[in-house]
Amino acid sequence: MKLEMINIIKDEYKNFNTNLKIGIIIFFIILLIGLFAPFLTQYDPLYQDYNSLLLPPSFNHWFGTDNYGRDIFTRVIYATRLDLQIGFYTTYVPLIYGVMIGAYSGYFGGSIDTIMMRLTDTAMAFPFLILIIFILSILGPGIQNIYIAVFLVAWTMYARLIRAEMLVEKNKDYIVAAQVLGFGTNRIIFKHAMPNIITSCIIFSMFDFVLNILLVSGLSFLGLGVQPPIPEWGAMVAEGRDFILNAWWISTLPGFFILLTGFALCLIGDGLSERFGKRNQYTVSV
Amino acid sequence: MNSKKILKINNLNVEFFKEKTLINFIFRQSKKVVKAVDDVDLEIDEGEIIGLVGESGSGKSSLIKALVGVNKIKNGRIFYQDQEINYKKRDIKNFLSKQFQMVFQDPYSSLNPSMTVLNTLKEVLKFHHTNMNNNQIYNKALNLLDLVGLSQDLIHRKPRSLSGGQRQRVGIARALAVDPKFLLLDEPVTALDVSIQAQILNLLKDLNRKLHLTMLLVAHELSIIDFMCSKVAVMYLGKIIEFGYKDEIFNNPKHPYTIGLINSMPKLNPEKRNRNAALMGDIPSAFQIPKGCRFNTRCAMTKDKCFKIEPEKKYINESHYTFCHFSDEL
Amino acid sequence: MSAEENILSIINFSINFVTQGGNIIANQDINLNLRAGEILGIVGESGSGKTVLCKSILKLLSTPPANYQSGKILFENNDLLSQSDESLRVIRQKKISMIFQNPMSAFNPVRTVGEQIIENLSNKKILSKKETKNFCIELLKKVGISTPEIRYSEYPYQWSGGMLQRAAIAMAIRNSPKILLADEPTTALDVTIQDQILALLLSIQKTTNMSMVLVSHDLGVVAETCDRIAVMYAGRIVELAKTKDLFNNPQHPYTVGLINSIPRINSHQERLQNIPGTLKTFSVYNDKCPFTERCQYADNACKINKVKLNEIRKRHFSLCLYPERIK
Repeated sequence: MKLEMINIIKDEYKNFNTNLKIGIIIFFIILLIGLFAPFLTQYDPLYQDYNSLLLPPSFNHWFGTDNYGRDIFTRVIYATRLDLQIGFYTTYVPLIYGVMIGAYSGYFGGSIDTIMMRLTDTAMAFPFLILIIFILSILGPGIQNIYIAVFLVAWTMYARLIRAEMLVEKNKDYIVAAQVLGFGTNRIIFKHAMPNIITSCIIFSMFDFVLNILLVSGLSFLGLGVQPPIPEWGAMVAEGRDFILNAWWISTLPGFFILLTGFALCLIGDGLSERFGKRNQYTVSV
Repeated sequence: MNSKKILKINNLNVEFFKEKTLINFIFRQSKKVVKAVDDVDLEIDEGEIIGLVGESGSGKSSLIKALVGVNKIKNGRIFYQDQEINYKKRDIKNFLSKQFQMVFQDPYSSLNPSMTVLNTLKEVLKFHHTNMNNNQIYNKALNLLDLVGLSQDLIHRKPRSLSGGQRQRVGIARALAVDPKFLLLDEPVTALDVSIQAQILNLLKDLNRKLHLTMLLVAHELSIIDFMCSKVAVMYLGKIIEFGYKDEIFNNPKHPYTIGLINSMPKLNPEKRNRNAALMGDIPSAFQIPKGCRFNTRCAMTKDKCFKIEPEKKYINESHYTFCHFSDEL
Repeated sequence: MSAEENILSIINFSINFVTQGGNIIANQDINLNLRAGEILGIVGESGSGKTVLCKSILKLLSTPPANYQSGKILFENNDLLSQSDESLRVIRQKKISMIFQNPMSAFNPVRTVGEQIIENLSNKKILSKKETKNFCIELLKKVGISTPEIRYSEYPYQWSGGMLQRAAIAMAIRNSPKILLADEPTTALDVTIQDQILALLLSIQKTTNMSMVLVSHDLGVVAETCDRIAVMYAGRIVELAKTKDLFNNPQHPYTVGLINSIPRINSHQERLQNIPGTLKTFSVYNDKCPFTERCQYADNACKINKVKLNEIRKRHFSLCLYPERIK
């Protein structure tokens, strides 16, 4: 079995196009940086060295220091952990129940579909950012509350995507065959239909991941997200804005990591859609 | 011949309707209803292969989907082995799936694209034969593949690496995995090349004999029906307009549509170059079934009566009936 | 049989496709002539290369993944394969037309049928709106559409498949082309409608003496409509003969196999004869017979010797080296 899996992955890898390969490599590097953060630096991200304020990038401080004497490089790579975690939770948790709602909605149709879709419309009707700010103003700032706010509204896109695909898929013969074979509804929806329709959601989730990181970065920039002194890319960009002219490295380098992560994820998304997108496959009929 | 009747269908009606939109609601318009299957009677003997012929809109697919429980039955009674089936029962699907199975038309969409051949069969076997262990299931899957003429080195392949004929065989194997008594085939060879068609049809005939499997074969090509079936039902716009033994139907057709169908068939006869089309006009929409005899828009020998009164069932002989006012004149 | 009578000549034509899975030789060494006023049938199963051949005549294949290897397609003394885009456009507009398999997708769903039939009718003629409308209505009448004055302004979704195929035929013959290419025009239609469309094509051909190429996988369809038939297998023409000769006296084992696998009414067959094995997509045969693995008459000599289209009888060609073995 395991040998099978390895062979399958090897085969798949051959089919990966350049975008996908580069994207995965970059993202993997970022992931490793986050995982091995403590081993990559001898500094503590919160330690304030008043003898080393606002130092430019040097051999001792690869990314320089900020106005509290904290090593920027250390803070950036520790922030990697936080940002990746945030991106992951804000993307994949809503994906799970968004997909479930969309799948049931598309499969059953009728009143279930109507109710679910009106629910989706309601959730989508709120301007995302304003809603989040509103919730945060009630609950107070902080990562946990951002999660709550995002979980309330981020699922709608996935519901829509899956519902659209399910509407088409449920009429296909193999689904009808599964019904005729007596399989239960849940098995049909999740074991039979889902693997074939989940692709667009996965691709979308790559872009969603990026956007969510940017969202949290933006909120942190506004002061609503992560509270100091926790290192988070967006927060660091915000903290450095008073020093842009004379200590550009405080804002720019964390910003660069945001860019790099976003870039890697977009490449993966593009690569996946090239590989799995139905419109991109052409059949030659002879 | 006192063959047991495995299936008896009486007055089957299947309807589809267009969902009411807000405008319909405001203007109090009634739902538009399509009578996909209109008052159909059919009897099938055990071990028989019965053919159901019809073009698009004839209702043949709706009929078989209703039998397996996919389409809702408006009214009608269906008897299986002399016992009435109650399609409204909660767990009726459990029963139906063990007795009736279906083979689909399109080999490209009838298999799950992300499941290998082996897994497709294993899943069905595990679900239906709960008392078998993994080893037995694996062996039974191999047996099934053998039964349909597929080699074992295909078991780890996914449908996209299989040809049309191979996929169709997998579909047949999947249907046979539950050990059904009755197989419904919805145009099983239409999408296949001629030489592959011949292979699949031979296979189906063998299975019918070997496993004593009753079959209801839907097709639109009369030659296939002639090869496979003993009796033929001809459907038009939801109704069986003629039914009988195949020799009767092909050599002594008693309905203008049947005659038109037989004459439209392209034959390998190069002499027939100069002729007019056998049947004019288009098939009417199922939403607007013509009043009187539903075939009156295309029939060459319509008389006044044909536009006003719907024909009744007329028996030509014990096993051959038709729905035409003027069948004697044919 | 002089060369002047040939309106279209395909000479040593080969084309292949470069795909992820390998190289597919779609057509190999095709030599085929279409005479003026004749209906030529090209019959074959999937993988035979018939659609590729038909589309190549009008250079409709995008060049990756298609790859024109060799050969010429001569029409009016010009090689169609080396024409400029502009002259090809004129040819498609006025001289050679094509109709396709799926009539539903041949029309733009957001424009009326009438509009599409007369679109860009001719860039030289300047007809008034009324004249073009009348022209269109006459055209629709010619192809058997009843009440064309009303139908003219309807949208494709309001027409049935058979009617749309008639409209497609109308579109194809509006400029009185010399050749009409029909790529499986009736495969997607019901059998009674297929019958009507074939009768229509025959009657049009009779009145205009247009030449036609009819591609189909259905032997019955070509038997009833064509003067000559070319049977294709694995990208090559394996037999070419007048229709009567082909069916009365087939000279290639594949043709024999094909004819025998078709069930016939009242034949009371217990089993259908079939051709064992399958066609493999990526096989390369070079100049050798592509049918040996499946042929009931093949022997070792068949595997080694090169094949080419031989004239077995008068105007009856076969690729088989030993057609005398066919009983």
